[in-house]
Amino acid sequence: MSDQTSSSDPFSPALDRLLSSSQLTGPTRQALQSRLHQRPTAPQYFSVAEFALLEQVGVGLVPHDPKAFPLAARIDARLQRGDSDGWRYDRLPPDGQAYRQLLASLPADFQTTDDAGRHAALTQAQHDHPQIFEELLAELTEGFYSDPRNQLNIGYVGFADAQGWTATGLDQLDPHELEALTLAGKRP
Amino acid sequence: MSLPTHAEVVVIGTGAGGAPLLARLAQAGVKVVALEAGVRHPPKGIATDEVAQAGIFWMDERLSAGEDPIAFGRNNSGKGVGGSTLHYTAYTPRAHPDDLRLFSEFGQGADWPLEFSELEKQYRQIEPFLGISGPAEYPWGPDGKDRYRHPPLPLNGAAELMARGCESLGIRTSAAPNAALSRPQQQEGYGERPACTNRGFCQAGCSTGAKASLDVTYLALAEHHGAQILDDSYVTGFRRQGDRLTGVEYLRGGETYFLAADVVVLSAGAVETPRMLLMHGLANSSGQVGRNFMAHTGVQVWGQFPEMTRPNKGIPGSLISEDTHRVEGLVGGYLLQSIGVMPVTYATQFTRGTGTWGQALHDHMQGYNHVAGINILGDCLPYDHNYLELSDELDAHGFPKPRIHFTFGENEKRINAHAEALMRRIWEAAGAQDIWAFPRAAHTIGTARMGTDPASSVVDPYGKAHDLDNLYISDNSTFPSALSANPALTIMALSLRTAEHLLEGVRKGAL
Repeated sequence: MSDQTSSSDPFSPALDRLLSSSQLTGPTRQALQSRLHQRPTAPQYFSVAEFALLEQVGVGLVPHDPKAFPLAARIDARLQRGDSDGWRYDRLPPDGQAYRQLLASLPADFQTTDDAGRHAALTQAQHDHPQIFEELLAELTEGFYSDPRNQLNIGYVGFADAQGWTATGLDQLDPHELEALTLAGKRP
Repeated sequence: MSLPTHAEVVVIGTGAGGAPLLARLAQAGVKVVALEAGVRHPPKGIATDEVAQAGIFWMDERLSAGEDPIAFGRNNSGKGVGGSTLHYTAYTPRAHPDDLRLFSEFGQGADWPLEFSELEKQYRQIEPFLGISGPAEYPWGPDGKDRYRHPPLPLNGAAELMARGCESLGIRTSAAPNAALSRPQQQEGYGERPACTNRGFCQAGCSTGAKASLDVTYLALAEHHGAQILDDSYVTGFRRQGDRLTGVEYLRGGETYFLAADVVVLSAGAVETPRMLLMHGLANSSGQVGRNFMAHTGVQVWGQFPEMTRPNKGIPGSLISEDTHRVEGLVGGYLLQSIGVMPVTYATQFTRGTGTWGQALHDHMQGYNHVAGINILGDCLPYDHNYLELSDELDAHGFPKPRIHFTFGENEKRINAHAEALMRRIWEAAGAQDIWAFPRAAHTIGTARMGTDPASSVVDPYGKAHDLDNLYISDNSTFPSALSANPALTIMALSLRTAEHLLEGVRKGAL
């Protein structure tokens, strides 16, 4: 994990080298580069106080640096647009309301207590509001693991598939995977 | 483009139900128009990125009720020219003759009001047209020899592991039939489709045209023969005179248009089709519209292996076993498939399935390149308690959102339990560590059942609504039972069968 810091920088030369290379198709490159260039914005759907709390909950559920990975901002923007993932639990109110409900259920000292206190509060929230918790956790997880910096950190370079793969069997590293990992400074 | 004002046949939806019929009618010279709510997604615009590909899914919110609420969106609901075949994994096993006779065999579920040979005849046309890659001899069901035009696609890591685990337990496996090309194929109306490059992102759309989504196969053929496909065209209403529909209203670019039609074919899938029928008060004298909602039992078992699998590579379902097609104590049965997986799908399923969060989530994801899965696709019986209704909540169009009630019955619980135990044994035998199960249901089926009795079914065995002279339904909503096979191939078979029926009508001057 020595290069964790450098690879979380969206403008890291190694990542840029890979994403700019002919190993990605145009549509894939465009999708990933535009995602990396999203900057945190002021909340529109949530109030400033709700947003700060959401961000801290997000860091607890899917540990990340919110300055590098604006996962809460992604949720805020999605709710502001009114986008859906195609379904919701009938028992729950609309997504934004449900998330507000979860935030409101947290103890008043959530933001000032220590890590152990926050962990206990989130464990309680998962028990008391399992479906809302699941939805929020899944949305944060999607935000985190759709970022190519985090994908690289689990050794994934599937997006570098412009030439396709020939070595797909067990324990096989494709030559193009090796090339991509090398470009990104993640040579196994 | 000037919009058509009249069609002999209008088809609503361009997925597996609409597209083959559209092509067959166009080939016969019938003036056909298709209305598709989504837009075109040509292969060259497809990104290898799960989030960027959200546009190929039906993301209008549905309300999931019951004890086993169904996930829609990315799980089973497509949108765009090609419908759900844009995201299907291309897994195309045939149904078995006994799948159509569940009631006769078990006294539960429903029989199909048609003969297996009628489906088989269509399978034989569809498979080479799509260019299915599969084994030289398929081990289960009739007519397994020389069924497939192309040799199987290569096995990926998950498939090799499943073969290993199954072998040690004495379970037969075979390379799976997949509607993706292992060698190039000329496609009428499209051109050459290349061999699959093993990207493994079938569920996020194919960027090469190797996968037989219907935009590069039946829809290309349909347009080549003069069919008109209007994308971004959302149906908002129907006009009716007595027992006939006279045409369809649709919204396109913010304007409402009317298309007069002699015949209307509804191919919007087992949620939007009954939703439209209920909203517009059509074809429901039986009270059966929206009833009998089914979803395949689809529990997945995941493990991490000492070997590297890099599970994003290769056709996701490259191995199959149907040794569990019939299992003592179960009504119906299930098939087993190996599964690869894309990273965001895996991560979100892991959180949903296990509730894991915090550093433990990241620790688990460090093992992503060692992950492999097995999945089942099993039968599901129709129940009174599983149905679709209109809710009071309105969507962006001002239409009521559908609410879908779904709770597994005893048989589905038994299927899932049997399958989970077996898959855990297979994975243990193959050397997996850290095994976990993800309970889920796949596909949307039922809600406008076909049958011969207008009192207990919505459409006749050819898909014609009992209540109306010129409304047909061609999609998975007409299935009387779920089948222990992935539905796309059988939806296409029924679509061609309905097309032939319509053409007979044309010949007799009845259209």
